[in-house]
Amino acid sequence: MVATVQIIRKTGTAGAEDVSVINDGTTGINTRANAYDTHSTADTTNPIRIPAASSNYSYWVSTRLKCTVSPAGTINNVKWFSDGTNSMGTGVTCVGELASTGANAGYIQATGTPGTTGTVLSMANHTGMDAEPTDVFAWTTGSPKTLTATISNPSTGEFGEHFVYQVVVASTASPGVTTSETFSWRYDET
Amino acid sequence: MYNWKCLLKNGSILEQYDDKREPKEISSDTIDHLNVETFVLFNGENLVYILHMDPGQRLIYRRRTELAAGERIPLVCHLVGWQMTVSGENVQSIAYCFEDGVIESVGKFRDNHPWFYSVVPTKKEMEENNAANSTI
Repeated sequence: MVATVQIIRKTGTAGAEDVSVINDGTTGINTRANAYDTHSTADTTNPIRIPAASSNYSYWVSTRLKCTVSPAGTINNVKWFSDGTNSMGTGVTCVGELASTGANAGYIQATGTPGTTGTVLSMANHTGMDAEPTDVFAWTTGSPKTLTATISNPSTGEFGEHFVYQVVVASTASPGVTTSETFSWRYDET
Repeated sequence: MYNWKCLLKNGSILEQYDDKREPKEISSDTIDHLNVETFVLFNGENLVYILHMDPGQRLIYRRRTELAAGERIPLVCHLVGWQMTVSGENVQSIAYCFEDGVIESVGKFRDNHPWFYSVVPTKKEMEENNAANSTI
């Protein structure tokens, strides 16, 4: 068999994270960016509250690749990209960036006020970030974000940088569930 | 699922999967890229693509996979081609064999294209490229 690679979302305490599978190589599951630090695919109990002014935020979402069946050779050349179009509606955006700095390969647990807002994703608040987050829709299939990520035979487990993103909700947003976005990863295998 | 077989210039055959061998699956990086006569891509037992190599050409092969949150089926493309050093320049030809049956060919990597962007050379490929450049 060729390698089995999953996209995972991590929540919980750094060093003892909960790992949820977003795509196991056969089934893809969208993940919600709510205002609490829990993986969810349909939960609406902790939405991001629309602020009277300025912006509120989802808890940041930490994603990474995990290899459960070793490649026969090497996996590398990892890319991350969005579909290039923000379909989440007026007043809703998404920012993100790579995280690999410090302990736990750059994983930092998301914080905030459940049901209201997450802590702003920034290098000051998330010390694992490699740079300040920017609009994720600038990274597209033809102009993706390149990750430092390699895993070689015989190895399994998480590998490469985290991609961390956060939904930003402005006072101009409308209530309700936003349209799902598709965030993709691509890699080469020898 | 696609798999490959390789006829080497010495007449031996190398297969990605061989139940009588340990390990049963080998990496394409174990192939001697300079000594490939023919590289064949199969879908199960059905032929998908055949690459006939000329002297001096070095095999390029990668399995490129796209995973997406919310998408059930990963997209898989097999890069099959060759590179050659001509007058100090790296010349390439690559076929992109998608597992839905579509095959597209390009004369060189295109780094602003969704699928045709370049590979990251393995250590072995870098050594082969350096050796080719030093014999010009």
